[in-house]
Amino acid sequence: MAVESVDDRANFLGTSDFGLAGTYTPSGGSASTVNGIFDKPSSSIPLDSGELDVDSNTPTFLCETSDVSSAASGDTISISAVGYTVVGVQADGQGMTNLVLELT
Amino acid sequence: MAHVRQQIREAIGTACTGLSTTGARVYQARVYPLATANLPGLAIYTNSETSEEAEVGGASRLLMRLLEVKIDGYSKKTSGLDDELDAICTEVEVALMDNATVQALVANLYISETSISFANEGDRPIGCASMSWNCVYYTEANNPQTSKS
Repeated sequence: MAVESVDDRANFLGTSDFGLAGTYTPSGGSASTVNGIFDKPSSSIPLDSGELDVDSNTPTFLCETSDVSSAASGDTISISAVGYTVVGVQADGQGMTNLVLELT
Repeated sequence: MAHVRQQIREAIGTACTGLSTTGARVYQARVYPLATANLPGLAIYTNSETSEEAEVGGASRLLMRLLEVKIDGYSKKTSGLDDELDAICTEVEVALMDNATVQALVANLYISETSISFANEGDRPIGCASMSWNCVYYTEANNPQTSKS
C-alpha cells in the first residue's frame, strides 16, 4: 500500500498552500504546468583547493512522479519567472520526485 | 614599519586589484565564506614562512626567508568555469611578475603549484584555482621591516 494517495499528494502540492506552479519542459518536448514544493536552502560549500567555502543555494522542486515521469538532466523548469535546468532526478519510488536544479 | 611579509602580501593585493576578471574583489586573509557578490574573486594568504641564516654574525646578520603566498581564485558559473579559472590565473601571473613594487621587495618570486577543484553543489557550479607562490626575500635578523633583497 502506498504511503500517500493521489489525492494526498495533490493536496500537499496544491498552490493554495505550499505549492508553486512551475513550467516544466523536457528536452525536445513541450511545456506543461507542474505543481510542486520549491525549496532553496542555503549552504556553504567547501572546495578541495582554496581556504574558503563559497555560499550558495541548492534549489529543488518536489513534485508528483507522474507529472515528470521521464525527467532527466537537461530538462528545464521555470518557477516564479526564474529559469532552472534539471541536474538531478531523485524519485522516492512512492510517487514523489525531487528535481535538483541549477540556475539556467 | 610593517613586517616585510605584510608589505609583500599588501603589494600582491594591490597588484591583483583591478584585474579584468576579479576586479576589486580581492581579499587578504579572509576567513568568512565568499558570497555570490564576492565572485569571481581572489583570496590572498601568507600562512607559511621558513628562514635560514644567509651569513654568520650578530643580531643584524642576514636571514633568507622563504614565504609561501597562496592566491586562491574563485568563480561560480554555469558554463566556461574552467576557462574563467585559467583566465584568473593568467591575469594574476602577469600582474605579479610585472609589478615593480612586489619585485622590489623580493629576491625571487615564482609560482610553484596550481591546484584546481570544482564543486557541483549549489545553484551553479563553483570552482577554485589555488596558486602557490614561492617568495624569497632577505632581511636582517633584527630588522624584519626592511627588505634586503
